[in-house]
Amino acid sequence: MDSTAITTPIRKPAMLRNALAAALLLSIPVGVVAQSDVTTGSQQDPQAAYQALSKSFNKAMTAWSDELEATKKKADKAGERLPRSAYAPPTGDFVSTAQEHAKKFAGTDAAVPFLGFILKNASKERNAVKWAVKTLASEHVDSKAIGDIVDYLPKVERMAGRSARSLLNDVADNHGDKSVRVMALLARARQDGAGGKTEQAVADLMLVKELTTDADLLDEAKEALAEVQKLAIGTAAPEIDGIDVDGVKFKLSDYRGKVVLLDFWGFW
Amino acid sequence: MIPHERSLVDKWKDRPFALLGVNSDNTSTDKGMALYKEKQKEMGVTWRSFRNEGNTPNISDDWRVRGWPTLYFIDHEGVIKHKNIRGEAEMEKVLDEMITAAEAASKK
Repeated sequence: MDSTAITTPIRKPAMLRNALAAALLLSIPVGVVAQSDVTTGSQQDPQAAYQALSKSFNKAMTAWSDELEATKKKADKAGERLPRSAYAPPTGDFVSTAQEHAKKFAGTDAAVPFLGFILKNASKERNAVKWAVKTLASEHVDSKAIGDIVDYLPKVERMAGRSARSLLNDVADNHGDKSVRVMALLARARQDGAGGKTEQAVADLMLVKELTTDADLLDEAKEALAEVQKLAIGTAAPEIDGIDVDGVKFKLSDYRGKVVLLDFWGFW
Repeated sequence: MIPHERSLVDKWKDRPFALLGVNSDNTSTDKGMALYKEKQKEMGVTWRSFRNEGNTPNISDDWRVRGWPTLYFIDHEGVIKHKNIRGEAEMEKVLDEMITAAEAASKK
């Protein structure tokens, strides 16, 4: 919180009293509300709180990546390699803040964007991700708001394990609102397509066409279908017209007639 | 990974099989190239690789690669037959089938 938090309460006692009353009503730790309420004047407004969180997160990530770029250059000059940990973005504090907000608005739709923030931005906060998925599954699975964040579920599968996929399945197969189902079907189809489960992905995308008449969503489905089929098993491999590591031009199709094991790799 | 791949290249050197890499070591830079050459010798990399960053977009983006390593099994007609089979025994089994099919096709 910025320094105005310390000076403003003296000049605005009424506002502080209101914040205290609100905190008592909602049984939220008084310090949190009093301080932040004075700072932003809108901490009880979930939308404003979300925007503030996003803004400070983006700012911090830009600063971090600039710094990383500079450190990398320095290390390159010195002939050193940065440790893997240097590449981990400092997401922890923001994830914790999102978690606090999600708890404050627990059980209401207002909590969902904060849970989504955790899924979208967590880099190594495994417990927070697990908690967010569990909370979404137990408290928000029927909410319409969940449609906006289902897209992030495939991303967290490595951290959250099966629970992320089973929540995605639940929304894709059973949600009462068609447009929410469509969002989940699109997310699931993209995940399956990328994982080589082409048939399942195609089936989901066909279902999207049945469920919605929304032009944007239909476009998305069409694009996803082309994407899924582009590199699907049974389709022609896209041509690669490139250069080898020594700078000599060659093509994938030069090897027609041979079986090719194409390996995306690196020593790093 | 690399020792097994090398063994495949050796094993099928007289049959219609090629292992092709798409390498992401930034060999267009001196530093990347130095690392590549050093490791290539050390690890015994005998096969050819595209420079991933040599194309725009990167080949890995065009091929929607989301994790490394990613493997595509492409038959003699240029059709994708399998993706991301990892087990060594399973890899050899499907490749052997594909190579046999390629040989049969060339005899026709």
